[in-house]
Amino acid sequence: MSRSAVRGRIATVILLGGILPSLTSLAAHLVLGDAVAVQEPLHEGVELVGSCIALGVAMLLWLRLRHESASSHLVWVMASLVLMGLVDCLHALEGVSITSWQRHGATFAGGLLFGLVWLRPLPAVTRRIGRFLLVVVGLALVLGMWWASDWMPATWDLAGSYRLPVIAANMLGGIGFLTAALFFIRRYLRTQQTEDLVFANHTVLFGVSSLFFGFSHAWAADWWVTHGVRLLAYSVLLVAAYDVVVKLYERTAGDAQELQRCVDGRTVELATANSALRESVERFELANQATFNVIWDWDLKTDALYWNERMHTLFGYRPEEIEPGIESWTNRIHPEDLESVRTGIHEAIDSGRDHWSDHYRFRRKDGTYADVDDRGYIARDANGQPTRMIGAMQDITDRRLAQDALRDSQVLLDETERMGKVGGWEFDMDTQRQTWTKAVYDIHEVDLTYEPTVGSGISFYTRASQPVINHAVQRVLEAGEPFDVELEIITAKGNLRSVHAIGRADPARRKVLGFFQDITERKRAEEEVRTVNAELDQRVKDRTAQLAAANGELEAFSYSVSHDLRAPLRAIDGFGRILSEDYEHRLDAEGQRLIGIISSETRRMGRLIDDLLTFSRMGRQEMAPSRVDMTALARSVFEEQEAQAPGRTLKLELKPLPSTRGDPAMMRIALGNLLSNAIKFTRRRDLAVIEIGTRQEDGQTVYYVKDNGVGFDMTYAHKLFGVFQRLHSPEEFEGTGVGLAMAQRIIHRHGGRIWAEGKVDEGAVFSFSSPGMKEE
Amino acid sequence: MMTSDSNLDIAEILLVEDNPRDAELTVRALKKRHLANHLVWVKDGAEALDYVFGASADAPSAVAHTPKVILLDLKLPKVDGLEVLRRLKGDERTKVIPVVVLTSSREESDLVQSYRLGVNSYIVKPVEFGNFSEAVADLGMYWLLLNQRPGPVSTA
Repeated sequence: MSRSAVRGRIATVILLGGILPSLTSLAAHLVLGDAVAVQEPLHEGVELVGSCIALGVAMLLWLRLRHESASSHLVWVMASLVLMGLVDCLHALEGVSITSWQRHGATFAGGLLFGLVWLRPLPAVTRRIGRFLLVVVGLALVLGMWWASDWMPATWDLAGSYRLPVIAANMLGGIGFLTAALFFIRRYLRTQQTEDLVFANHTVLFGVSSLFFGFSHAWAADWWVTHGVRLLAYSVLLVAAYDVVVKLYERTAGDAQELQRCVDGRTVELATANSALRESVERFELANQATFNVIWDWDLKTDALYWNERMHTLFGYRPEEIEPGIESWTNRIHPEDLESVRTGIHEAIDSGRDHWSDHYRFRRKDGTYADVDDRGYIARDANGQPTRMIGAMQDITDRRLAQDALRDSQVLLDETERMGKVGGWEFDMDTQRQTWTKAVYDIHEVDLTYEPTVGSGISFYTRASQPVINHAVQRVLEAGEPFDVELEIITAKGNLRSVHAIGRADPARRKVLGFFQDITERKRAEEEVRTVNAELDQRVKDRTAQLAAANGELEAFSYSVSHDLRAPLRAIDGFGRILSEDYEHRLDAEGQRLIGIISSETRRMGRLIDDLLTFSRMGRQEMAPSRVDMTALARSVFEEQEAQAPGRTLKLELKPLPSTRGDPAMMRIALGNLLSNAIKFTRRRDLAVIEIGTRQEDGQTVYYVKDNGVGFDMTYAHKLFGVFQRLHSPEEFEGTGVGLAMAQRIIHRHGGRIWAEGKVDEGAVFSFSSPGMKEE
Repeated sequence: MMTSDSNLDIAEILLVEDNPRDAELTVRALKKRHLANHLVWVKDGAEALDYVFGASADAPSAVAHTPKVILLDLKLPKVDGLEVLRRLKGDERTKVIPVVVLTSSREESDLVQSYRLGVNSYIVKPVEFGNFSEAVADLGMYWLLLNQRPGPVSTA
């Protein structure tokens, strides 16, 4: 709707609301006369319309004044309109009577108030209070006039003319309106604002109406005209009302736009803030999940305690198993720790601190206790009262175990180093720092406050060792060549020590590290061993030489025995024979017997010598081991021996014998000696039974030769195998006492053993075995 | 040097034996079989070599004597039996002369060494006289009467 169209309509309303009623009432008055039934409702209508317009416009101005400080003169306009609107309303409701001062009071007060537009604008606070006072005063005035109307003087006389007070009040009011009209006209000339023109029109109309009102007569035509003019004045206000509405609308629209802009701006800000918040929450959640700590939040007012889900992963408690309150914490603290933890946390809260930390044992779901490190922050309100605590609990069991293990291994290392007199050193190529373990300090005989460097470390070495270690250290530092040297140092206390130093580079860690050992004891021991070894060597050499000499002597002796001892025997025997042959006739029987004895003893001596030489040879002769068929050998030897024992009845019980490994010639001699022994000592038996067999003893094959001969007394068993040892006299059983000794020597040379068991007159068993005589 | 025959050239047995008792027993055993008529007895190795080689020991001429058999003891003064054996068997002229070692030694090393040097026979003297004279007589019989050998080798 265009502004001109609106104005047209307003003009129509003014006509309909102001002029038409006035003309209608004038017409009615002329036609119908003073008919109360027509005039009173018409009057009430006119007054009510005016009152409504006044109050409506006042309200609009009120609204406008809230935003527009520049139009402060309108405060008076509004005040006037409110006052007049209220009073007119009352006047309309009460009807026209002789005591109705309302309309006249309204004109007087309204005019005065309107005239105040000339005053300078009031301060805002005063204006607010002023408006408030105005309404109160207006209402009080209205109610007062309504209530006190009975005591008020009559307004008109019998003729219907208004009395002087009424005329005065209307005149004064009218002047007030006209004064205001002057203000608005001036203002309009300056501003050219419709509003100012409207108010100028209004005040002019109102002022004129008021000036003439006192001279009119109730219910008369002039009376109706002034009413009509007043209504017209009110109607004119509707234009101002429209303006105000338009202005308010535009302002509101602007405000709405501004508001929209603000809302939009705020929305964007909020969205940004929201996303930032969401990110922050997500970050927190992530951190929450990533951390290995149990996060807790304790509301100190309600004692509610929140745990995050780490409570499950770290300690095994599912969310539904955790009590809601602080007991979810205290119930799980190790009873021995509970008191001190409780004391600590309360002290932290009560003493106004903002953080707390403690270290205690916390029970897991499975009943074991974890070592935990717990840290909390205490939030406080403006008054410093604690409101909540937020904290993180960390399971440090593994860390503690690792610390314990580290400590244990350190103790072990220290102890090992102490016992082994061995230590380690490390050189950091970046910081040039040299680090020693405790044992290295001990070996140098310096205390732990000594600060080693590469140079000072080398200075401990002896003059002879220094070039070696210098070179080694230089090479390992420059080229990473490892070294392993045994050198000597002079300790801080002046002791000479042998040391074993090993070094190698660790390029990844930019370090050179190594091993350092006190080997003084070892060197000393090695020196001793060397001395002892040298002595032993010398002794062995001496002994070997002695032995070789002895062996040589023995050879010479044997050789000599072989040649020289037998020659005289041969001579004795030979010449004895010659004597008995050549001088046969001169010797009697006794002489011949004596020569016979000489001859037989000589032969015996020859046998002794032969046996002895054979025996001696057995000890020295080289062995030529091969497989020996023991069954065949036993049979062959038996047959040989049997042939040398004519006239004897011999029975051989030969069991199958496993073959063995040995020197066949020697084995033949050994077995031959055992068999000849058996044959010899069974001489007194009518039937000599000789058994040759084997048995298993301790996993070894034991060969045995058993006879049913005279046996022997076990008391002398140890003498059986001695050279020239005999248990019988030569008269009983001939023999040189070498046979068994020779058998033993042969078996011994094969690494075996030989032994005999027997009993007098119950035969004998000779057994032999040997690990070297393996069954084949 | 003792011979039972004045004609040295026809000596058939050279006995090298330092022990006079053994020598006497040996001679007696051979005599019983009448084999000692051309026997020359020397008492050590040096004499034995002198007898065989004469002055020609280092000359390429013919040797002085080539007996039919030499009975050689091993343990001898001056030059021992094994050395004599080595010299005899090492010389082409005397190589063919049969040498019988007649010794008391039963030592394996002596036996092995003798055969390595080319001995023709090795007899251990029995202590018992009967066996001894029998053995000596048998070997005399064998080498003097039964054994055939080629004639003296001439190096010329």
